Amino acid sequence: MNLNRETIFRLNKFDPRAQFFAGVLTAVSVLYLQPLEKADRLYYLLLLIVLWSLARAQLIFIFKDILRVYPMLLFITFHLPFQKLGGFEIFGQVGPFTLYREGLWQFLAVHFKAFFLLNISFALSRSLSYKQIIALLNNWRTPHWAIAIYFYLQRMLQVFNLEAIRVKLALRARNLRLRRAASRHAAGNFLLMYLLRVWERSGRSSEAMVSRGFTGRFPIVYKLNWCFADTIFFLCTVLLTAGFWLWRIM
Amino acid sequence: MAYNVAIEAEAVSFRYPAGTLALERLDLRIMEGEKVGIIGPNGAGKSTLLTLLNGLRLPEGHLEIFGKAVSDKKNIKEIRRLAGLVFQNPDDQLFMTEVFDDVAFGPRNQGLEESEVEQRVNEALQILNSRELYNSSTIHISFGQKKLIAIAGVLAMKPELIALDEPSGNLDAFHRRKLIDWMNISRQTIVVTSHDLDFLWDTCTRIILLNKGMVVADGQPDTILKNKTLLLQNQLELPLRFQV
Repeated sequence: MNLNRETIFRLNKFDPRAQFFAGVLTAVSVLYLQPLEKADRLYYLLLLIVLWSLARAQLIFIFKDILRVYPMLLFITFHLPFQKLGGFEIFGQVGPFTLYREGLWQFLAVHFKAFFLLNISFALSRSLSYKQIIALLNNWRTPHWAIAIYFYLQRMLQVFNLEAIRVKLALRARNLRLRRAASRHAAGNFLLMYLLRVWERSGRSSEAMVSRGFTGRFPIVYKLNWCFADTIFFLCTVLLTAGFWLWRIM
Repeated sequence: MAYNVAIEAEAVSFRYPAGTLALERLDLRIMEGEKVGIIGPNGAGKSTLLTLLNGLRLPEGHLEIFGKAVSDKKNIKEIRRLAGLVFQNPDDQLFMTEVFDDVAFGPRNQGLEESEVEQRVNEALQILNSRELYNSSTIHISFGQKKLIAIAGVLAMKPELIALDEPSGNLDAFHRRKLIDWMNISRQTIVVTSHDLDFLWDTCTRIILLNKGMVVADGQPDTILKNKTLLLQNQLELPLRFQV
């Protein structure tokens, strides 16, 4: 059993509104309420955007280890060896492992809360299904055209993912080695073909929708149902995110 | 059963934006309840013709589906309800992540109650003996299974006219047989393009041979699918059962 997937599956049971607000609260907590420097804040913002996008695109084949909750540690701390830890002046110079470890502990001591909340936020983004998001948008009286655009974007990301898997297999099947110039040329062609195929398939997807009677109004069948468990979940998130903040000002 | 005209095409032509002429002054009349097989070499215009029937592409000339002109934009919604199209590549057709949602997409767009939608999905999957795929993901199933789901998605809409593009491709023998059995008992008008001439022999009452966007021959399966010279001239060959 995959613990992370299981956790995400359980989160998926909560009402999308509870999940959404929990996501927003954690993001706010990470970005504004934590003792972070301005540069770190920007770093976390970018990290949050990247992780959310990857989670929604489900680009698991590239980042399958990163997209689990716990190995994110590696990703978050990836930049540390490149920083001026231990007095290195030249950007990009990698120090000995002991310095890296020291820097890592230092980093964790300061950033643990943010790291922890980022994990939660990431899991929330991953757990919200597109049907829940569509139901949520509908609940907020979002115009139908906007919901349709969201669905198209979602589908396009999916097609990007599926086509990338195919291109990767095709490259492997032809034994391409990027060290060789000819292979690099072929890989460039593959990339171009990849983009064209994504474009073409996205177009055909919309044709398939239209051929089955789609006129811009997405049929929404997912019912939002806020229950007691959602209230508990929501309160826990508020306590957790605000709790860190209170701890800080005390 | 009253046999009305299901498809009426007069001097229908279609040219792709890149300039390729796919269909050239096509005249065609298909009656309600007919099962018509469209054959021809690659690039003959078979798939293009099917997309016209659903109103996905607008041709030059006059094309009517159950008396409704495709060129009239007011009719398009009704034409799409009347004519269901199964794409050649199921990867293009399936866009929802779960099988149930994808098959239910058409009936939901028709504004049916959820209980009715569920019943339609069950029936469509039952016809193709694919009930086990009910809760599957459309991404993690085989190409043949995707094909079945694509067909089920159109069957669930219960259209009067079904246009099938290479439906037997990638199907195993069991599901191919299921599809043949269903086509033989169905009372709907069916237009099917295929290179599987044995499949057409088993299912169709009429064959139309296209080449370079024009009708080369039109007649009963007996006269066209057994005509070796005609088939060879059009880069086809006899169905396997006649190749002894």
